[in-house]
Amino acid sequence: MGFQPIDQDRGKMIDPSTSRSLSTRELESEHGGRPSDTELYAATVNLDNAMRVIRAFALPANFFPPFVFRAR
Amino acid sequence: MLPDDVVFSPVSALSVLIRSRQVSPVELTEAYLERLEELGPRLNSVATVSHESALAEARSAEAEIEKGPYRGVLHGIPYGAKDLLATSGVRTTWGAPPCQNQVFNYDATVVKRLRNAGAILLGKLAMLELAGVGHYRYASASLTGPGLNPWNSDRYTGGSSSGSAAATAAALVGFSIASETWGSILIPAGLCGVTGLRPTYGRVSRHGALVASWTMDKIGPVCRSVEDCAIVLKAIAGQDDADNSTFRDDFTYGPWRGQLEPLRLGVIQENFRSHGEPEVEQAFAGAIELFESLGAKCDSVSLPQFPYDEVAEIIVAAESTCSFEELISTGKVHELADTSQQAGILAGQEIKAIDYLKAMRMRAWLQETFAPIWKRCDVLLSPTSLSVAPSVREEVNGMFLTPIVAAGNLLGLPAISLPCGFDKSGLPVALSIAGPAFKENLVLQIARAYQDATDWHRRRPPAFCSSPPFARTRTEVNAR
Repeated sequence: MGFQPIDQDRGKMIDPSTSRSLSTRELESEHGGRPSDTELYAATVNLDNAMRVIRAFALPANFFPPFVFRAR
Repeated sequence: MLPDDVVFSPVSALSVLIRSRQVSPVELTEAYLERLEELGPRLNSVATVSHESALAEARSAEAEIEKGPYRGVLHGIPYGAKDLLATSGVRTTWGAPPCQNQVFNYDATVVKRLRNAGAILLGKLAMLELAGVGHYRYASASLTGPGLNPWNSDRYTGGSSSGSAAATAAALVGFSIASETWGSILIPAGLCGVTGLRPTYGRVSRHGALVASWTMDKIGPVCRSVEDCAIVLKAIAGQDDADNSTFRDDFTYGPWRGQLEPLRLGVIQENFRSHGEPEVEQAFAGAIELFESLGAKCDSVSLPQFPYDEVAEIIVAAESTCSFEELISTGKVHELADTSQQAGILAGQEIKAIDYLKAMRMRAWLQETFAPIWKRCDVLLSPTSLSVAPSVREEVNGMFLTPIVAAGNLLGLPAISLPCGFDKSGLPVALSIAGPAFKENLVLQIARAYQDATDWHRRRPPAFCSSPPFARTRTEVNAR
């Protein structure tokens, strides 16, 4: 079709740290599997921090919006 | 094979070619199918190509245009849909390994409306798994692999509408449909150098779309020009009984006012020094100067002090965990490609009802707090992202998100991202324009004035051109 080549090896990328070629599937398997305890802990802490901020936010006591969200 | 000047044309110009019989819908469909099938996999931008049905639709459109009636600008125009929109009989994977064989027996409302407008569905475009709502860590958080940027395939497209942005930028489709919960239209459109419109919450039906976060999800177009976004929005907008969030009033584009005076543009001050790139800052400053030269009054604006990210975080996490309840209960959540995404969805179960409800109260409070901004300015300008597309191997979790992205999504405001320059390495830089709810026409008019005065949106990724890039054609010039 006359396109300039993007990658000689379709769907592969070069890992700059090791200079080796990684396919999409290899990339997935490197990061795939079940989340580690550290990741689960980090995700929980992340939400915990957000909840802490929300609880500390002062709203007028009588401010209760309709349950359905509408843009306005 | 059709030349670059045709396949890279915006919809507005393609429709002129079709009406004047210079190009037929079948020729156009064949050209995009070839590009989608040959080049799409190199960018990991394609989920499923509907080769036969696309050709059948193209033949039907061709015959109908020949005999009449002509349905309008989208008649005979091929497009791609983000793979979170249900398409009858064609798999809809949501970008997620555990959903890779999912097939619905109905079409999403947006797909139906585009069919009624005469547009031709080429196939489904790649996306981050489950729209990335669980906080993915790597670009590879997708069934189809990392979204590779057409301007440099070592760089990321941004997400979650990775395929929609890349396929539109590389001219693998005439236009595409994407969705945004928290930046998923604006960011990939910006990083890939195309124009993406996030409509007001309630403007476009989500019926048949993945429910990532039902009070945050919006569906919108990714195109090669502002005018195209208006054309597509006109076709997909409107009330739908199947989605009770939809708004009754029609969307109207135009009439074109031609100048920006006396509009007031509020410029959101971003902290480039701490986490931005100087070239992005320069391009954005150049855009502000241009808006001023077009007659607009640009003044700095500060967003109200508010925990935007935290409120968005709790709402999205609570709603998405609820939406993905079955994935969690069946254990299929562990089939997701990105473990951070799994962890985020699982952690969402820990959110208490009181925290979600408080976040929703705060959101409504933000609507009141934000309202005075619209008395001081007509729209808000900001860089779409403070940096250009990062390496596809970098950790990307949340790196593109500025407060206006969370604010605009929490409030359900319309916004558009459009190219405003390139860095020295040739990567696109983009600006965003956000407006009050249901003021898409205003946002589009301002964005169009910018595109009429610039040619950033006409640039083409060199690796996807068969002729010298940046050549302007008679067709394109006439289309302006």
